[in-house]
Amino acid sequence: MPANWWTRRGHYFWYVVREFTSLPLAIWLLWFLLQIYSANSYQTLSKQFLPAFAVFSIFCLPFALYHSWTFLSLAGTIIHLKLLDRPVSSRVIVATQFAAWIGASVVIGFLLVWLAR
Amino acid sequence: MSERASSRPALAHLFWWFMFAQGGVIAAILLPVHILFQGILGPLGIVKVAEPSDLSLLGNPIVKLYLLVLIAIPFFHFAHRLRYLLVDFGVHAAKSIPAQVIFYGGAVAVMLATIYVLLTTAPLSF
Repeated sequence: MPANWWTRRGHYFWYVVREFTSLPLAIWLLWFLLQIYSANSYQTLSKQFLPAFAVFSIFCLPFALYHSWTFLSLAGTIIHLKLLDRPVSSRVIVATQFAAWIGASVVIGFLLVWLAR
Repeated sequence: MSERASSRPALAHLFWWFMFAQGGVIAAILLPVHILFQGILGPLGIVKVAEPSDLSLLGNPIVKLYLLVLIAIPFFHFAHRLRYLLVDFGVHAAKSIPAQVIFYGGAVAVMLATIYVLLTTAPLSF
């Protein structure tokens, strides 16, 4: 297979982007863990890297959103449920996944702001 | 004999696929809001948000458990995706047992490191 196979069709390219999202998100989580680790010396160590962390986070956010979009959209294909002996439509399953995502984001966002007061 | 062996439940597969799926769900549902608030809005000073280094929050056992799930479990998903991305790019060594040990062992290592950091950074407080 030629090395540039993934550039030949749009859906190959977006498949590779979907799989690649793991790398920046893994680095973001490790950086986040490093901030927790340096909590005791936070003023001298991590705080000076906050602007860089913000820039990297701006880079990561589209990848995180793309992972969420593609992963939750797949739920309709992967999950098969029956309710009162009738199959639940894949659209309903995907809609519940996105509703859970939006609901969790609102609750966590509120908690992150509320806990900072 | 071989029939009996092949009919056994593949518990190892069950475990790794379960971790892969859960890691994907957690990364999809929880990660974007943390990146937005604690990665962008907080550091840029747009909104005052709970900092990951807040020792009073880190002592809470529920926060510790939440952070363990948030940070460690997605690595089981990432390990699988990155390993197969290498395979797709022609790195057939990524299919080998040593590569599996490196990738999934790396996810386990991150989990152990996260447990260590969460237990040693701030004492438990109820």
